Amino acid sequence: MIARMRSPQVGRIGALVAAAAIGGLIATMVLAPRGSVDGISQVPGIPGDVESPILRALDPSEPLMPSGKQVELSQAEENVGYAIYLPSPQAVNGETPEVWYSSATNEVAARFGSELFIEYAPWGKDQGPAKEYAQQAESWHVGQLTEIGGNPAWLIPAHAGGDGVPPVAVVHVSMGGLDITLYGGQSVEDLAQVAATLSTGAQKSAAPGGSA
Amino acid sequence: MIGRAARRWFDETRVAVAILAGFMMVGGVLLFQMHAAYAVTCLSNLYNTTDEASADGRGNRVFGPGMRIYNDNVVCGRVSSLFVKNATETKFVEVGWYEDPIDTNFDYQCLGTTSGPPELFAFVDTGTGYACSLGETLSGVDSFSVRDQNQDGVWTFGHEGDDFYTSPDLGSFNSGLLRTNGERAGNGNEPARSEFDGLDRLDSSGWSPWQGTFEASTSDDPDFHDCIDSDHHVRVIRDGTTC
Repeated sequence: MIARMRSPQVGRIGALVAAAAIGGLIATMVLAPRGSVDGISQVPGIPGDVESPILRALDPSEPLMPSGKQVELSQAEENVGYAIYLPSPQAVNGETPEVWYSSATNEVAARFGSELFIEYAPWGKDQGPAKEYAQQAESWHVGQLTEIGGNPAWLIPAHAGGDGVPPVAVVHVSMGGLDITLYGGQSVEDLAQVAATLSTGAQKSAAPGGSA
Repeated sequence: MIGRAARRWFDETRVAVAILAGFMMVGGVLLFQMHAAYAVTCLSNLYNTTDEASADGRGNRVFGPGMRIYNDNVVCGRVSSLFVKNATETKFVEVGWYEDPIDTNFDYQCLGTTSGPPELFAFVDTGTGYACSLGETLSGVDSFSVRDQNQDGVWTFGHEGDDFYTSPDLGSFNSGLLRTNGERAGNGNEPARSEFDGLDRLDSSGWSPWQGTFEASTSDDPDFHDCIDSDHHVRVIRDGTTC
């Protein structure tokens, strides 16, 4: 019985502590910095104001290869030692490509305005394209394996790997010993249709109705 | 009656004073914290100072002695690292050390926060996905490497002679531009100093020293600059400091 009774002094001290706590709580809610809630998230190594290297590559005001230079198609083919596959003019609304070459890495890439760019990379000598695409699709848990014109292909819709990853649709297709990667703002199905028109200059010339 | 009223007034005043004291106490603590945290502004983008070898490679290494690890007092994130990148920069692999203190408004994707000394990390970005690995806390001067020796698209990350991470398959990305990187996420009060001594590139015949080293196009730090002591020894130092 005695233990359940609180003396008036204890009650007053309790009220004072409670009042101080309420005051502190209100002060915390009013004064707490908002910045600690809204965080900035960055990928290490992507410099400056580059939101995404893929989006930068789709911006014609930016260099497609920051350490490369724009060249003629024939010069690029001579430098890398293989034929460059390009989509049919109808598939890219007649847009003439910018062709870029990096002497440091012996890489070539082509850009069609702000809608599409294409990377070309030779496979390693022991790499099989269909197996590589299957392994990557499994490793990264994204995309769909298929064939385009009888060639192994891997289709990745925009945001398939999470918010903004990748920021646009991506289509990999293997042709002529190359891993050809198309990045475009359209749907992955439409991008696959563009990939289906890829051919080299020699193939265009040899096609019925092609110019010599 | 007067005595009771006076006592009541006294009690109410004490409650008001207690509330006021609570405000002042918490406010004081918050102001102290805000001063400590907001003297530095975490940037919405990163600043980098980068050097590049004139030739590409299937591996990048700093070895004998290696990369210096600075345990600076930072509020926002910072990195010192080695890269291999493709020419469009849509794909890269990266190894080095980083700091990303807890309870700031900046975070590196995938890596998480740190407390105390810098930590070992590996990072992979394919444009269509990214992956990372974290390691131990570091100090002193250590060797780091990242390589795809057999060019099968799978990269191996090393620290002090031990392999600590193997990447997912990156397909045809099996060689690229070789770079160093001194990076910060805070304003000019935050350090970006870095040192790489013993830079090597890997090709089909093995490791050999970097040659023709130059400042890369991705350098954009307004407060720090590049210092190329030799082709295989570079530093990142504060503006106003001479090499």
